[in-house]
Amino acid sequence: MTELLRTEKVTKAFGGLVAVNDVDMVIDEGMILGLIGPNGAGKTTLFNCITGVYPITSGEIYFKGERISRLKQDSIVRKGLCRTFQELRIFKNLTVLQNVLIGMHTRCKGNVVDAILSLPGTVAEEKRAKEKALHYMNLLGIAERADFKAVSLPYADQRRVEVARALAAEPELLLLDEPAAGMNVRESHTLTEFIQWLNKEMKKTILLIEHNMRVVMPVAHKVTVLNMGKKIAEGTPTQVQGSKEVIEAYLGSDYVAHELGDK
Amino acid sequence: MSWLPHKVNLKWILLVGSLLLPLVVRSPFVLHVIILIGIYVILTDALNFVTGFAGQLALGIAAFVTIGGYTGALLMLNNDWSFWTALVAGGAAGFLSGLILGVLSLRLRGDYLGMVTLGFSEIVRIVAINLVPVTRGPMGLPGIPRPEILGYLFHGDIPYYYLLLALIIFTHVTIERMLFSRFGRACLAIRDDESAAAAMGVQAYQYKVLAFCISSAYAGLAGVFYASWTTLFSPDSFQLVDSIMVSVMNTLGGIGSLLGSFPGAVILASLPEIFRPFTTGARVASLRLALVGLIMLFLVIFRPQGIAGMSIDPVFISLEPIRRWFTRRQDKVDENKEAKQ
Repeated sequence: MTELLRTEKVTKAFGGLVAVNDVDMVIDEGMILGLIGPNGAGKTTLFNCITGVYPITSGEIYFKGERISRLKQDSIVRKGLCRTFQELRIFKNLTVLQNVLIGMHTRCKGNVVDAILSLPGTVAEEKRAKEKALHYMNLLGIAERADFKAVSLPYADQRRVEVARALAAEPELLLLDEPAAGMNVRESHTLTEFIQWLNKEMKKTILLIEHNMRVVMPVAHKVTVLNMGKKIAEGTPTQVQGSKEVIEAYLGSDYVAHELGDK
Repeated sequence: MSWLPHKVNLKWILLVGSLLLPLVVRSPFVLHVIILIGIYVILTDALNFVTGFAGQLALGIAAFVTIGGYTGALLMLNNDWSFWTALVAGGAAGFLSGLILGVLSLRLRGDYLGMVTLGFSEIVRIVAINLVPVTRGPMGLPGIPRPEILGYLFHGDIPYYYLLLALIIFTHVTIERMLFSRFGRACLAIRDDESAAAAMGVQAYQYKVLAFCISSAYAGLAGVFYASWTTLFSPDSFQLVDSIMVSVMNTLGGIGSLLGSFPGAVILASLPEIFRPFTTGARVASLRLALVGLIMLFLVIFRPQGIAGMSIDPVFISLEPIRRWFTRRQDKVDENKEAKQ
């Protein structure tokens, strides 16, 4: 498998607080990488560093061999990385269709002058974009809600809008930040299947941040564990589940000493 | 009744209505007030573009009207430019000054941006007062020429009314086209959630600056129109209180709506004139402000989203009652025919 994303000694410090510390990570094409860790481990910060929200303090990030660690967010999206948010962040006052069309922002070209002149080329581009957006909405089963305001949809559909929006950006690497947040067991099960479908059918490489082990463990090909900004373990889900450091990070050193220490 | 549609887009009704308006309005005073309302419609649309669509709190729109007005007036007076080229120059001046202020200030958000734009507006006024060699200071620039088209020189308010109508149509058509394009969507996305928009690859800062420039360009156009209409432009033509008035009109009409500028400007610009007969002199101004306060109070209580809300969808007016009326009359005619037979 070819390497898609590589982070080399990525460090992000906010003043004295080092949120991400020397993290090396490699994502191969076509894999699902689960990024787990306790609250405040720096998972979302690492996400923000990769997608260019924060400039990193030191280290380098490469995407398909090209350095992206000094690029702006829009160039990174253009290169083929797109994310969803932990807390739902759709454009509430826009329609579902408009939301998805904004996902295609970097894939279209029309500027202000084109808009004012409304030349045939611009109109055609807009039409193509709408068709494509509808295609993605169809995949997620929200096409018949195209003209509804996003805020009027039920929570699960709003999540779908966010995923459709990210897919519309045509990313090679899709970064999902806790997609199962606020979902019940059945919904998170559907989500698991959906993530596998994205990976297999849509050929998307996925970086998945998740708290819910029921979601991560069955889908992830590889799991990276962060704690206090540092990578403490990496491997297949089973390897990671057995790791002493991971159990310590999640359940505390007392637990390890009492329950596992004797063994 | 097949020739009569079931419903009609409100904008066509507005268009036909405003085209016929001077035929109905006979009083020069009323027409004068209507033109003033029209100027406020453009300014409210301009402000709404940056505040309602791109979500940036801008308060000093008078600055750009003043800059546009002076640019147009000075070019016409000193360089003998025609009104039409001066109009374009005024718009361009608005755009450029918007660019300078926008680049410097649009990294600020919310209230801070509001304060900077407000401050800029005062700076422009004070410069206009003190730059006496160019602007003649508080005395203003008199004798600004009127437009001429195909040898016809504008006089009276009726040609100005139609010119203004053309400007309003231009403003609305361009705004609507921009709004339903990639650019407009990006602006709306920035308004709703700037960091999510950025994560989708929208260059938020650039788009905010551009929206601000476009808004200022409309204000500049309105400034040149006003200068030529009144033939006098002074630092007092558009001041802080006018900026606030435009903000209030926008709030009343509906921040982020496509047609809210009409009810907003019509109500707030016409009410003081309606009340004028009952008050005298200085009391008009104070009454006007009290009235604005009262309207805003009711607005906040009963309809905080403004008259048109946040709607950018076309508004349709049902023609069913008229269809029914026709059908009933037709039935009567048929009945009469049958009775005769």
